[in-house]
Amino acid sequence: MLKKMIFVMVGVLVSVSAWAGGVKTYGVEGMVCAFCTQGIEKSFLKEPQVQAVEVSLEKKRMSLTFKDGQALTDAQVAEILKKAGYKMTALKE
Amino acid sequence: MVKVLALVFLFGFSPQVFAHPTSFEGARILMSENNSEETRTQLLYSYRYWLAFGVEHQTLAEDGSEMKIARVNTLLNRWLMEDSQANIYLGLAAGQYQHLHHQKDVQVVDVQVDWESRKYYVMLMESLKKIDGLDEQGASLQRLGFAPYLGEFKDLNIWYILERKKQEARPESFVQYLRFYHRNVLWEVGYGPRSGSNFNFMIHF
Repeated sequence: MLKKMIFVMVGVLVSVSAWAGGVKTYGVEGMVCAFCTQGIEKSFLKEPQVQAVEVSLEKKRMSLTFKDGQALTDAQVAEILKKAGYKMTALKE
Repeated sequence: MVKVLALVFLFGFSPQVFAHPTSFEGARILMSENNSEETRTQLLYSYRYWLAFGVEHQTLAEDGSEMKIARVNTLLNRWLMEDSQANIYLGLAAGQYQHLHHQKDVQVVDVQVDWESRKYYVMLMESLKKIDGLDEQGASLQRLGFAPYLGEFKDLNIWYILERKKQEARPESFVQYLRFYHRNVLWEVGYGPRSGSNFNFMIHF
């Protein structure tokens, strides 16, 4: 029983650490100017899970650095981008 | 009174078009347009990325007349493409026109269409103004721009912009601008044969 509990706890801890914190990068469509960038940055910095936002006009992408133990789902990121007037798209290399 | 009417038709008011009429949700926008013919200042709050409202004040240098209006701007549609975006906006405004001791109600409606990429920019605007007791007055404005280099958000971005204005009963006018923007601040310096030196700025905060 104890072994099972430890196993479950370790499993939960591993899955949370895999899910939360760290940096995730997303493609953004139509982002062509500095004011576009500012709007996206401010929209995500309002979210409590987000520690930092890095936006690249050249690469058409943004990277979110999440606070430890926290994250946003892709659906949540897409919704915030939509409210900022932009659209999430596939990352382009 | 006849002199007031004549001056309104002769000088008119030109549309303010050097920036997006709405911005990101929660943005406050201060913008100003200044040249030898007129001064115009707008303070807007963007409630949503597609809806902004605020106040505007315009003065004409020639006769000291002024217009104080409340304004609502809405983004009717935005088309997002991989390397560019296109927008269509509608602006509605109403307030007071004043010259000497005469005060009249005024309404303005404008439609703005633009397309921009990181390197090119095209904007078209049509505006209609109605002062109580007078005929409607139309104005149109076009802008073309290009960026000689592509900058990021943290860089100083520089653009060349050519602007053409046409108001009813007035000859068309051209102004050439250099536009600078860095992060949340934009400013333009320009010159036109009729308007002389032009200085515009916009701040998002």
